[in-house]
Amino acid sequence: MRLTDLLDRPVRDATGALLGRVIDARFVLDGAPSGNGAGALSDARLHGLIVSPRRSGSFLGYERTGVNRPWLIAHFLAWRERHDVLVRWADVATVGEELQLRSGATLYSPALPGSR
Amino acid sequence: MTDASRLPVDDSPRGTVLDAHLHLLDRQIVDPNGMPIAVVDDLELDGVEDGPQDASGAVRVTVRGLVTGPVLWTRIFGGRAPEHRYDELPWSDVGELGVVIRVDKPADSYEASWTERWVRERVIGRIPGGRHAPD
Repeated sequence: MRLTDLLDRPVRDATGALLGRVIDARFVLDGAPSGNGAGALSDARLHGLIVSPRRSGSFLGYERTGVNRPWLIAHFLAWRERHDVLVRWADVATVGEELQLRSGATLYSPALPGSR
Repeated sequence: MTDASRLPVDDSPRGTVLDAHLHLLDRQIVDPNGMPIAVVDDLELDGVEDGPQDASGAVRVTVRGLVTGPVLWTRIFGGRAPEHRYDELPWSDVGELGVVIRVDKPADSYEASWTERWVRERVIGRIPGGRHAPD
């Protein structure tokens, strides 16, 4: 499956309530190197999905990176995306026209680790 | 709606964390000599299909490759170009992620650079003096 097949799909929690749409995917490089070269990177494992109730999605990722300059733009864009959440891939129960989360799925801030 | 500022930050990842839109998509791919190859238009994922997903955590969804193709018109008008118009560069070839994405093999070894080779052989090469470096 391509990543763009997942993007823009609606996400519902276990009760059927709409959380938003998939606007981005978070990957973690935490395994053994995937190639043979000296500088080969680890496999990029899908860790979670960024879900936004706004259809247009995030712009420049100010709500995730902790970048706060220029102040006005940074704060406006972060405020605009204040309802975005991160859901772990392990909490996704079903992938279809819509994504369904497992019961008890935890919602996280979309901020990148170490950005706050 | 949920206010994300009240939610916990997921600090569980123990490796480099990448968000596809922020760190991968639309980045230039270059070879070890700095030769531009293509732009990352999509990612091919292994381990995920439509349907119920594994709850045990045994199935890892990973990036198989960087996909490049003619996406300009499909981004504007929607739809998807025929599958044969896309080229995939294996993730195992990626050596460095930054402002550009560096792969470990020369540009000519990838199908994605065929237009570069075609123009070099069929157009530039037929111009007198076009087959050697400037003196």
